[in-house]
Amino acid sequence: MRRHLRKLIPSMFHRRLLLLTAGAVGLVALLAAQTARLTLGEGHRRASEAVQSALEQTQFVPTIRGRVLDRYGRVLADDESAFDVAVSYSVIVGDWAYHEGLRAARQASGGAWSELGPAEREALAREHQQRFDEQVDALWQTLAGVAGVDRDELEQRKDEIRQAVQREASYLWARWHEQKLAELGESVPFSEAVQPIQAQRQAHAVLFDVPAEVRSVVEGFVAEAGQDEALKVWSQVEVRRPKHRRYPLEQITLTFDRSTLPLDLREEAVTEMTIEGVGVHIIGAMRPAWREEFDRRPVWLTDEQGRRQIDLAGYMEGDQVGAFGIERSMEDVLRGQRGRVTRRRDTGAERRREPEPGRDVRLTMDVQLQARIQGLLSPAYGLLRVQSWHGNRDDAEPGTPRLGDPLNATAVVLEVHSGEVVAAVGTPGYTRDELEEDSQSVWGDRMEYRYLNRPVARAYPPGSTLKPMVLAAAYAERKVSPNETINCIGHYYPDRPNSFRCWIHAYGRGHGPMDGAQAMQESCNIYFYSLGDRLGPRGMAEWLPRFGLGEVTGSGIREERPGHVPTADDMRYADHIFLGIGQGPVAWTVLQAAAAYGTLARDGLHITPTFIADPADARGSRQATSLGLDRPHLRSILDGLDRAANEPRGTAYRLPGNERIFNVPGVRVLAKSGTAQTTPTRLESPDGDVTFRRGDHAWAVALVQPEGEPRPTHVVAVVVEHGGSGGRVAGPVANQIIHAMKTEGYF
Amino acid sequence: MQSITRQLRLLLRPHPGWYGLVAAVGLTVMGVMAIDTVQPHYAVSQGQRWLPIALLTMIVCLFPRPRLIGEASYVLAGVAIVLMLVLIVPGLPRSVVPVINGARRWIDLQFMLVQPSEVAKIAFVLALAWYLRYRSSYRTFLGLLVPFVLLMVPMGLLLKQPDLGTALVFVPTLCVMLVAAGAKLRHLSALMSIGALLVAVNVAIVAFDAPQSMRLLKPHQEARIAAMLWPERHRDREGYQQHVAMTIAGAGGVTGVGAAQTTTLLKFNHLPENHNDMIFAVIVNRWGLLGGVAMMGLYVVLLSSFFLVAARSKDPFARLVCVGFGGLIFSQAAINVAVTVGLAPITGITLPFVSYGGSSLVAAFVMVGLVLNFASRRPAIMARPSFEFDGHGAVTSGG
Repeated sequence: MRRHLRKLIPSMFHRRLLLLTAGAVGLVALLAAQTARLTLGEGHRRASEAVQSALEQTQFVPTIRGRVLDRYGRVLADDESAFDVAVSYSVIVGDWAYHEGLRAARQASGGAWSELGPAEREALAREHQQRFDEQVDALWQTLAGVAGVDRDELEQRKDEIRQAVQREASYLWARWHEQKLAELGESVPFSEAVQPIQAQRQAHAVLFDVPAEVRSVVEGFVAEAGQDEALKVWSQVEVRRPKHRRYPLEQITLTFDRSTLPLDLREEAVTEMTIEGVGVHIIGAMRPAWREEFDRRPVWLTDEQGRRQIDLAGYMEGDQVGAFGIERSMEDVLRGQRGRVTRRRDTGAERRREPEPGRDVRLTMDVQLQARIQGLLSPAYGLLRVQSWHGNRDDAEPGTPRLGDPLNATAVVLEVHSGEVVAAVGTPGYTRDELEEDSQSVWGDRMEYRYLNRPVARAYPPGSTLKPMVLAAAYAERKVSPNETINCIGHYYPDRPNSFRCWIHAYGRGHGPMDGAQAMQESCNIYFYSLGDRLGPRGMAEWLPRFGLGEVTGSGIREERPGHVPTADDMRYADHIFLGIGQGPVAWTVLQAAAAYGTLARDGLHITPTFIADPADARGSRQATSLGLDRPHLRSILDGLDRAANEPRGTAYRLPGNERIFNVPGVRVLAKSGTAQTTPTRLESPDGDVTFRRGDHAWAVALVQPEGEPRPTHVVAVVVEHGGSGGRVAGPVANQIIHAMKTEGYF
Repeated sequence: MQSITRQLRLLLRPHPGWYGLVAAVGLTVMGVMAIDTVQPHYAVSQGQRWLPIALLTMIVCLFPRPRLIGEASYVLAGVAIVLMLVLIVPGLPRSVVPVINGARRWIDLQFMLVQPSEVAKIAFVLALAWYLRYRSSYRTFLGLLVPFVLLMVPMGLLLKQPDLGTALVFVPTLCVMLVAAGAKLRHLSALMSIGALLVAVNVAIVAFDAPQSMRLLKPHQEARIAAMLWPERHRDREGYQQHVAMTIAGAGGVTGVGAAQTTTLLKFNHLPENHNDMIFAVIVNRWGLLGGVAMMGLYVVLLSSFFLVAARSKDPFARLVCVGFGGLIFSQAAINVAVTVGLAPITGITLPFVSYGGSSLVAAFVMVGLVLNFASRRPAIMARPSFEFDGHGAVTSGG
């Protein structure tokens, strides 16, 4: 080959030239192939789409978030439209004048710009910047003038915006950096993660809710900005209709009749109280969307073919998202979908897609009753302070509430036939103002845990309130019959008087022979130890979850907690016996307790409780399951509850001084009290001091049956944290809630 | 006067140099049209100011005798080096050496900006050709190193400006000249392997994020390599220009989108240096793949024309100059296109004849002029062909 070539081209120089030419042609072929890869097929399609999309300017049209309504259609949350005046961030921080100066300087110097050094460019830009600085100053002056606000006020607002944006930027940058590190698994300089955030590119409201005349003046300037160079800065101003999430019934003023309170607090006077933060835990609040949302559902996404797509319901910086409560759990329903205006930058042609407003969510909550119960539970009202009838001992362990100390409580009112939660209150709570102004004081509260949505998110040991469920299980499993008696001698094991005692043992005796209803009435521990023992770990582990223990109910609030019930294998020696009286390794939320009692009142039909009125929105809740309980058994259990509240030996019958606990005229109450032993609650003050709160949790769960009704219509469940005796402390609270229901027209 | 007339007559004879001129003018016209779609005022300047100046300069270059050019080549190289030294002398006022985009590459003559690197490119080829014309020392490995060592001088000065792009063009140009001059291919391959190793080391340093003490390149150069390695990660920064260029080119399709659409697309798809380093993207966008291939074809025509002139010439100096100029223009074009289509990291290099720029257009036409000049010369009677080392040619050693 080589020889042949030499023969054909004798000159080495010529052969070398041929070699070089061949190399050049090869190189050209390679470059042409790569150019073809870019310009043909998929490469061409992607590139065309990319360049075409750059010709389109997309502007989003905000949507309106759905309203949150209470069960009677009262508006609990809605978007309020107002007119705000917003100024671009670059004007607020002073960048605008500099960039305009630079642009003007470049224009003025013509072709010579590229030949100038940085210092000369800078000097020229500064020279031109001056007139833009003056424009900016005039803008602020004018805004202050037309809106009638002090210039200092505007300056303060600018500072707030600057600080807020900086805070957000440093937070986002840190997160982006972390994310990049996680994505690439290598060291990435921080600077690489830093990009201007949306808030740095957009306008921020400096004047809020401006009247029409201010609006028209500002709009006049904005319209002229395009024509008059001296008013150019007004192109950075916009009048916009933002959405403020409004919670119109967050504060409700009500009158309270104190004539039905226990004697010590009873007054004939009617007091008026303003209740703040009504239903905050349930309704929720909004927060700015974070990377978490951007990742979950971004506005801009790239599909498998590499095409950029827009999800109009997606999240972008500046969006608001439900932070907790219904606002969070029903985000997808409430949110709606933004609209879009796409304008061709070359032809000016526009395509519009109107926004789709979010759907309303109606709650099962009665906001008026909610507020009333919140009022009842406030220490100012008196019921939730330690009172003399509570019977707290002065020599109790340190950390046990003393006379006059405020108490925290949780209460739920549930409609029996539907499983709808009519009210769910936990105290102490907070207001949205507190959350906005000093969120740390709420989220960081390790003393009272105000942020906790107590009715659904704090599980308490049930104590004796679990006994009806244990009895139902024992009846169903034929471990005992309604007429069978069990003899209470004050302790469970005849030969061991110091363990597994009945509460009555403190009085030096036993209850004697008791059937199921009697045992419920007097809350006999020995009877229920026996049932626990007879059911055994397996029976307990099988039956308690059927009443909803150990699982989130699916009521529509994401903060819900499942509580705890052990499996048979997890139970240690005698746990099942303790479970018989609602002690040991078991805990339920007040909502779970109310739902379980609702099941008894519904003849054993378990319905998952719900906060959401429209079953279509309530996803997963409102499932009904029959527990297959026999009617005679249920009758015996309800009889026991009836006797407990309505017969002299009943634990929920009277307060010291012979005062009836439940005294609402025209309403029959079937109730069970519970005094649940607890482990001390750890409290950490803001200074870091750790203390413990001690004392039993006081429970009362009542089935409320108005006269003329064949069965109970509502369940009222109350727990007073570390309150002590269930009957004395929680009973009167439940009673007042029933009064409140009567006041609100429930009976 | 008589000799000028005679030379004119000789110039008008048909010879392969003319194809080169036609290709050069074709490329320039293509460039002016492409610049016109994105920066019309630059197109006016290129077409109405620099093209006439470049053609006039080319005409001037048609006349000096090759020997005279050769003898002046060392002086010219000296001048180029002095000019490049001026660029890096600290303390010179900005009015003389302006800093543009962070680089000191120009000398301000008040009426125009001169880019010494353009002078250096021509001077380097001429001086090297003059140096190599009768030698055969580069046929040994050690002898081959000498031109590379000489190359370090202009390259070092260029890197100091910094002008990595132009510096890089010197290497293939030298290699092309040495291949043509008959250097042993295995020696060159060995040297190129060392070069390739060096490139690989630098890429590895970037890829594996080596400690600071091991780094050889400047951060912005490393960033460009990183942008090549991880285009997605660097799309918005170092890789932005290249990414946009590839997108703009890709959007051109087979036949392009036409002038009006290219103007619109380029207006709303910001492509930095669209009239300059990235002009090939504009060409492909406007005329499509066919336009891009046609443009590359013109470079091949130009290269072939220069090589044919070299092949027909008996003068070793003319031979090497033609090959050197061909190699220089072609490798610069190839690097530029490779950058635009994403096959090489961004180096900041213009497309000869096509990109906007006075100095570079004048320099390119000077090369065409000199090649036409050499093409018009009759071979000396009895002249032996040079660079024939395999016994078939007449010369076996330099003389």
